[in-house]
Amino acid sequence: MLRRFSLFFLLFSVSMYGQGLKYQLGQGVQLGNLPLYMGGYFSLEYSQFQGGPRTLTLDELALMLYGETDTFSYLMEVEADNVYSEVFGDEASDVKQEDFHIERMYVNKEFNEHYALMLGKYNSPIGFWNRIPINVLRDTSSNPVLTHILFPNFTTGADLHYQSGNSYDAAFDLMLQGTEDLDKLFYDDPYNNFDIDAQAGAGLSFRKDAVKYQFNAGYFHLVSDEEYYYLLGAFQYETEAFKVQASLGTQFNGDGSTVPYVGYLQGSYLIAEEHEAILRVEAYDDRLQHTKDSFVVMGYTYRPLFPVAFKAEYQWHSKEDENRFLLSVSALF
Amino acid sequence: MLRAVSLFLLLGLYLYAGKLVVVTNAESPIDRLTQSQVRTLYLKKKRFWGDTRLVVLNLPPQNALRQRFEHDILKMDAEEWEAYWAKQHYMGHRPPYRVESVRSMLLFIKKVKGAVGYLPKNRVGTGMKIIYEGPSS
Repeated sequence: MLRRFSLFFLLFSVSMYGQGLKYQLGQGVQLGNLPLYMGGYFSLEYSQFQGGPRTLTLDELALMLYGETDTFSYLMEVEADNVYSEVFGDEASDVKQEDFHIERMYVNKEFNEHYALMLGKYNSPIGFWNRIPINVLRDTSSNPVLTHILFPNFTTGADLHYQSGNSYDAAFDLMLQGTEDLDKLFYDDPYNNFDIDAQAGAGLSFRKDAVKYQFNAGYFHLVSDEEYYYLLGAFQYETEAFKVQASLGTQFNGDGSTVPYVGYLQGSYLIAEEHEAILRVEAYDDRLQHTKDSFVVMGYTYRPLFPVAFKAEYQWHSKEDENRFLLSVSALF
Repeated sequence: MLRAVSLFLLLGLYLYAGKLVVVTNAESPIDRLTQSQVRTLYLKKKRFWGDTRLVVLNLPPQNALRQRFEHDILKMDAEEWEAYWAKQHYMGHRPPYRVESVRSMLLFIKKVKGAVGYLPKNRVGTGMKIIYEGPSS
């Protein structure tokens, strides 16, 4: 892996040198004069459970190549997840994971100002967090539980996208998948939170003044032949300094409710230009995992530059042994 | 009296020349934009106008005209702009095409049907049309 990564950095550095003063951190580099751009991101995370182990993890390490021509755009992203994890005082639990997986790989065709069709593997356009799920660009080091247990994070298939282009900024997505995850061409384990071989979903979002609304409904089928349905509603109110966001979802199958409720309410406040405070309350009941919890997340983010984030958070859970402290450093380049 | 009138005329001339306008190619299907539509175009939330693909142009970040455009028309500061485009970089989208000078912007707009840029009003020439007039400086 070291060799592959060194090669990438050599190419990145040469391209950056070629761009000279035009290079801006967090906006990638162009490969020569090709309609192709290169970038990536990483995150390093320190975690400590109350009375439990302390762990240092190189959590995300990803490389992206993308570009656009007249009406086509394309993107490929490979990521090594949980690359290296050191559990202090317990060397036997250390983890080293060197494989790069296909996180996203798609081609997008824009037909006109309203319609576009995407084919390949992409982030399922569900809710607010799943569209930009990387540490450096999200509000806190941790993702809300909702993004882990309610719906598949990735779709391998097609997405038909419609956008109104008017002042409501309305958009509609229709997602379809009829195969296994694209990454399963190379690895046995799925690079997705659910091992699915089919799914269908629809999403509607629109904005009215400072409030944005998002609704999703969908179905997915597991390789193990179980199937689930989900519903999600979310809104976000945003001003220059404040942001309030809430999401509520439910999941069920033919036998009844599997996740009767999962949701959060979050407020964030820009204390000063580079400093943000976040408070989030979450609750869920996951009957598949027999887990029910409610907890509070208090977070602080410092961004000396937007594409670089230093974050700290503490989580108070109803189950005391789940309380934990998180620190992370992440960057987009 | 003559001096006062001259000064008044000079001031008027300065204000007129200093007005910032958004322009496009004369053949472009765009006729008029609102301020929020200009913002939508510059954030590349709208990449087509009907079937015409838009090529939105921007000057380098240090350019005074660009700073005025961001402040007066986009109503965004440099940090907000940077944050927005960092997210778009992850989504696989590029910022507006960068030209190095007002002269390059003029040439580009005259040649490309879907080109959209901004200029001081006194630099608008043939082969282009004004689609939005910003506030006077």
